[in-house]
Amino acid sequence: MSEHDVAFPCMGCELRLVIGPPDAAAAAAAARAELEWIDAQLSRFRPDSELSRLNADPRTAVPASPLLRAAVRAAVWAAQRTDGLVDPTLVGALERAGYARSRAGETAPPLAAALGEAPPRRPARPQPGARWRLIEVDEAAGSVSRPPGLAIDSGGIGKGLAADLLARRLRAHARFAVDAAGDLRVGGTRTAGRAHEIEIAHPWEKAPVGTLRIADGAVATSGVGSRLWARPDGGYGHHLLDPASGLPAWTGVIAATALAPTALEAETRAKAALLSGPLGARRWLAEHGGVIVNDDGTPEWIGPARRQRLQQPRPRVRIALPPAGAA
Amino acid sequence: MTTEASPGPRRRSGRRPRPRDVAVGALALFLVIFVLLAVQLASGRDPALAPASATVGTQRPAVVQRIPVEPEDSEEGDGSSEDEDSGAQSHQPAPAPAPAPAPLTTRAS
Repeated sequence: MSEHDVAFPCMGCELRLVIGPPDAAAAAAAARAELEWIDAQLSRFRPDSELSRLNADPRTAVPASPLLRAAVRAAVWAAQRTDGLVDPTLVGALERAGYARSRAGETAPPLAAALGEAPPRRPARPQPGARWRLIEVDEAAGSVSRPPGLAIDSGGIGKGLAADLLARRLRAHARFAVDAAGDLRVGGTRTAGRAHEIEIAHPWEKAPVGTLRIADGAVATSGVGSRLWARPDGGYGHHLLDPASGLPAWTGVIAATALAPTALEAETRAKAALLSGPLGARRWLAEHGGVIVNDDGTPEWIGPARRQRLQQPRPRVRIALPPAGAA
Repeated sequence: MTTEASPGPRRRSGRRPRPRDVAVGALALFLVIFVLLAVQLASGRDPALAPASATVGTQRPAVVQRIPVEPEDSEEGDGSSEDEDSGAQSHQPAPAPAPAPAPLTTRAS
């Protein structure tokens, strides 16, 4: 069975499409064009994107395309589902933390150094004001309402949504995989007995944490190591914020992988698991399964993922973190 | 007559297993099967997941294939000069296999 396999830069990362017959090449080209269009409309870093224009619009109710309405609905759904832990209204805090521009292509500092400098670990908490509750999508009017000045970030939710939209387009193909930079959606009409095999990358080791077998569904990973930067004051920042403080969250979990029927749900669960810390993560990953990687690099398999893994994880090497304040 | 009749009941009672032996045997058999199933489950081979787990040790880790070269088609295309081509090909080293595609990977983004 021939499959078309293409990777290309998009959404600040490298995206990948693997599509089986029929018409794999044509479907891949159309899917790529759709992903690039979604990126152009939903990127916070493009001033001409529809999302950026919405965030800059002084009106309360702003006409919005079906794609933008779907993205905002998805972001609000994630916030509702997590009681505000996955909050789409943290754009200002993200920019203050150092994520005002896309950091695509930048080399991240060593995660071990950042962990050594990080504050005491604690679970993230929702923003007391819950400003995301002020966002409304009016399908009849074709608009999005929110207080002017309340900026919305699509972030990883946008990638999950993109993978799900593509999966809907590709569901008639024998096999397909949409890798939206960590958010994967796989499926197809001929996956029985030949499930997709997906490696879970370790935050710093070359060997993967393990391999999952998924015939139809989604898996997403959220982690602090990919968008990590050194601040001018000597500390480190990353893009996963504690909504309560508006500061980068250091919870004791550095990466969380979640399985779910859709990439949107997987992305939401993965982010909520990371923000909740080791104990709370188990709750978010219990239903569909997942893996967390703790600060010391040790992975923990949770729920049904233990039955879907292919390889036993080899013993992990614990890193010795430098003491706080060490040069 | 009493001497002939008496061995019969003795033989029957000697062959019939005692209830206690039956119970002990059944318990031992149960424990053996239970331990076997426990070991199988602990090793990750859940019998309830037989179709999925049966392929665990046999499938290659890489699942995605790039568009493969189809050898049947190329041989048919060379059929006009069958002897020469097949002879020439038989002396040439086999072409290097295409590199395995990168596995699908989920990582923090």
